[in-house]
Order: sequence, then C-alpha cells, then structure tokens
Amino acid sequence: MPPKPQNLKNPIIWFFASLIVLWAAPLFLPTFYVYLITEILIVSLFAVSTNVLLGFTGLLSFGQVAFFGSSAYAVSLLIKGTSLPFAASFFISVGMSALAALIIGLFCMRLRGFYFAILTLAFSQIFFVVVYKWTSLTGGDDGIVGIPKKPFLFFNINGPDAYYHFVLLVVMVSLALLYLIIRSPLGEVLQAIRDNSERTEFLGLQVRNYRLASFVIAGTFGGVAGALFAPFQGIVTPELLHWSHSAEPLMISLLGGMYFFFGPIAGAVIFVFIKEWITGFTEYWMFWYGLLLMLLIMYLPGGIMGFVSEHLKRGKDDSR
Amino acid sequence: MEFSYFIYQLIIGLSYSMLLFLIASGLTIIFGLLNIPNFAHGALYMLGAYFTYFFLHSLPGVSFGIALVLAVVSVGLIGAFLEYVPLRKIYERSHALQLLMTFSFILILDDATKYFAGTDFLSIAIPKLMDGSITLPGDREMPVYSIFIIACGLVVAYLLWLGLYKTRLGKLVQAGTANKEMLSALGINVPRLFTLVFILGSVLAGLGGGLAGPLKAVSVGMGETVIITIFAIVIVGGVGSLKGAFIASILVGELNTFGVVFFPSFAMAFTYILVIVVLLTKPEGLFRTK
Repeated sequence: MPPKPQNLKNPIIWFFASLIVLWAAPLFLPTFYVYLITEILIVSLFAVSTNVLLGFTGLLSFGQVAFFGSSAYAVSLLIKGTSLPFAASFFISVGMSALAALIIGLFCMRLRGFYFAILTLAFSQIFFVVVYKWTSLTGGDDGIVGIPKKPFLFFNINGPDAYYHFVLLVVMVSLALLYLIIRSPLGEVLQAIRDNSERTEFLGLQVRNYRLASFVIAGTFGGVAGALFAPFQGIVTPELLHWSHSAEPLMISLLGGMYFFFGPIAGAVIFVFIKEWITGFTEYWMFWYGLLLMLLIMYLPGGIMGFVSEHLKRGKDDSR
Repeated sequence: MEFSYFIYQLIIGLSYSMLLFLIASGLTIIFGLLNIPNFAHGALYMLGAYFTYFFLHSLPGVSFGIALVLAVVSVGLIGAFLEYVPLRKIYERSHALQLLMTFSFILILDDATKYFAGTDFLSIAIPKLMDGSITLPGDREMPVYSIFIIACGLVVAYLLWLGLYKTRLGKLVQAGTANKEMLSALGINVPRLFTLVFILGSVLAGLGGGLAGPLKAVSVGMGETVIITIFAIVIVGGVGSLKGAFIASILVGELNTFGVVFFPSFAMAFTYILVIVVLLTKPEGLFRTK
C-alpha cells in the first residue's frame, strides 16, 4: 500500500525560499553548474508530470515523449519558421500537447496495466515515425539545429544565467500548480483510483474521466518541459521522441520515490549528477545506472524518498 | 506488380516472419506463464547475434552452426541468471515495476555489450553451405539463407507445438498459463518451472538473434528496434498463445515487407497502427482461445 503523502507544513514559505535560493545560485556557481541545474529543472518537471500518472493515478504511460517531444518540435518550428513572439510559440506548443494528450487519452482510457503502457507507446511511436520521416518539415534524422533563445515578452532570456532564471520561474510555477492539483480533491480522487479503482467507481465517481484528466495534466506539463528543453539545447532530434526516451521520467520517478510529490525531483537531481559523475570516468554510465535501478526495484521499491521517510518514521517511533 | 515479384516478396516476407516468430514465441510463453512483460527480450536477441559473432571469430575452426549453438547456450545462461536473481523478487509486484525492471536489464546488457564489443556495426558472413541463391520464375534470385530461416521457423514451431501439447512439461506450462495457484496446489515446483521456461524463452530469442546475424548489421540498437515489433506480435496473437504468435508473426512480417514496397515512407508506422487497432478493438488478441 502506498504511503499517505505528507503535506508540507508551510508550502508558500518553501516555495519562495527555494525560489530565492535558486535564483541567487548563479552568483555563486560556475556556468557549468548553472547549466546542470537548468537541465535538472527541466527533467524534474517532465518526471513530476509523468509521475502524476505513475505514482498518483497508478497508470504506467510509456508514451510521455509524445507530448514532451512534439512540444519541443513545435516550439522549434514556430521559433525558426515564423515571426511569432516566443511567448506565443511557447503557449501554442503547450496547448498542442494538451490537445494531443486529450485525443490520445480518449483512446487509451479503456486499457490498464501493460496494455495501457503498450498502447501509449504505440501512439508515441507514430509521432516518432512522422517526425523521422517528414524530412521537409522536421529535418528528419538531422533534426532542427540552431534554435535561438528569443525574448520572452519583454525579458531577454539569451545567455546561460538569463535562460536559467526563465526556466526556474516556469518550472517553479508549474510545480506549484501540480502540487496544488495533487493536494486538491481531484488529486485525492486520483489516489483513490490508484489504490482501488472499483471502490472509487462504486462511490459514483467517473473513474474514466478522472483518469483522462490526469492524462491531460501530465501531457500538458510534459509539453511545458519540452518547450523549455528545445531552446535550452538549441537542437532537437527524433531521438527525443523515441520510445526508449519515455523510460527516462519513469526511471527517475522510481529512483526518487514515485509515491512522493518531490520524489521525481530528488530522482532528477540524482539522475543528472550520476550522469555527470559517472561519465567523468567511464562512458558506460547506463550500465551503472541500470544496475542501480535494478537493485533499487529489488530492495527499495519505494525509492530514495521512501527509504528516507521510512527511516525518519522509525526514528520518531523509537524516540517515543 | 508482376506475379513473380509478388511471390518473391511473399517469400522474403515469410522469412522475416519466421525470424520474428522465433523471438516472439519465446516472449509469449514467458509472458503467458510468468506474467512478466519482458522488455529485455530484445536485448537477449541482440546478445544472440553478438555471441554468435564472438564465437565465430574468437575460436579457431568453428563453424556457424557450432557458434550458433554456443551463443544460444550463453544467452540461456544469462536468461537463467535474470530469472533466478532479480525477477524472482518481483513476481508479486505490479506490471509497472516489472516493466521498469526489465527495462533496467536493457540498459545493463546494452552497455555491457558496448563495453566488450564496441559500437561499430559487425557483420556475420552467411555460412558457406547456404551462400547461394535459387532462381525463381521471372529470374528472381532467392537467397538460400532466407529459405533456411523459413525452415528453421517451421521446425521450431513444430517442436514447440510438440513440447507444449505432447509432453508433461508442456502440459504444466499450459496449466500454469491458465491458473497459477492450481500448479502449486498440485505440488508442482513452480519456481523451477518458471526458471526453465524463462531459459527456454531466452534461448529462442538468442536463436533468433544468431540467425538474424548474417541478414542484418549486428548492432547494440537492434534489440530496441525489434522488441516493439515482438510485443506487437504477442499482443495481436494473444498473450501466451503459440498459434496466435505464429499467425501474428506472418501478419506483421508480410505487412512490413509489403508496406516497404508500397508505402516506403510510412511503412515504419504499420506495426504501431496494427497494435493500436487490435488493442482498441480486441485487446485480448485475435487468436486467444480462452
């Protein structure tokens, strides 16, 4: 049985405290770390959005790259191909992800478990094939290169620190929204569905619609992460949309603890640092990462956060 | 389209289908009995090709056949380890965790292969005995090796059918696929049966990989490319159904072969569209008897 999530005591204080600390971070950190934290923030948002499905609704989607990747491509095409301001391109791309999630979600809602995973995977692979084969639009295998960081509204976001601040704001606001959703009555229903969907249905709730809502929320914020990612990297390639990339936010959620809102964020921090650290002395970092995940599933299926909260709880019980 | 060309494509498609069947039969039996959706089945297929290459080139005077047998045994041993150590821990868990665990196997096996074999594409020569072609009507040259693959697929299909329906072990597998609790209630050593079946499935994947070696470039990515097609076959055929996997292999194999002929730019998507249609209309598969 998944643990009951603990609420933050003062979420507003936490929000502003972490925002201020992270905002000031470039003052103390070399550019390389600013770059790294930008990546962590984007990966965190993608993982937290995926985990709305995995950890809080009990749905394993193997197709979240469809929303992340199509938004990344859409924003790149709009930036390079039109004279629209970046803000407009950004919101159009996110809106398209939401719409795609709604349409795909309508089809996928009738299946569960493994079949749901494969159905979402198959849909995302269709996106992959379209991007891969529609060379005249997407550049095919070469992808789209040289995506500039245009000003967002009146703000110049060109340059590592400026773009970091932009990503920080967008991610923090998105995470706050997701946190509110999970803590809202809607979030409560989703967790009830995860724990026992039949019983939730007997309560007179339309399980199907709630699951669909969860799918659209996950797709929309996955789209936000994708739209942030494209100008950050300056390049998008079809690999972004390949099914194996869908495993990344899932593995990160698992690593951090999928029954905790902040689990995927912890997972993303560990994931990005492990990647940087292990690639420092071997290019075979996936081997060690895979081994870590395997051992984690065998011995600590609650992830890092599950492990920590278990020990904190035990410590409290002992002191009584 | 000329009729002779049609026949030629049909046979080429059939050889691809039989290759798919070799791999898919292993996965469907594992999935049916152990209820584990094994994402790493494609990685075992890839290992079959790499081991075949390795034995062929590192041992002096070894023929393709012997290299293939050694490779299949090696893949079987790796399969035994995967079942006996990590998988055994998570049989009671959700499909989500099982899928993610088998995905972690892919990361491990892929990178280990890169470490030992490098990232260059390798090629295995077609064994001398089969390095010719037969001339079909319309002057089309049909490689002997493709015919050989078809023969292998048919022989394996027959042997699996015999094993599944005519032996005690096969009856246990069938019974376990239908109702697992009953097996242990009858005093059957279920964990051992699971290990045996997982080894059998791995061996079939390895065999498919070894036989595919001379047809394709041997590369680390080959597992990820094939596994989705294989899952598609298992779903279309119905999880656990050998007959279903056989028919679905032919369906998917021919669909891909003719898809490339008629719609070269969009053929890649055919398999996914087929899976989507089947999952939305008949998620239990087209040929499941239950």
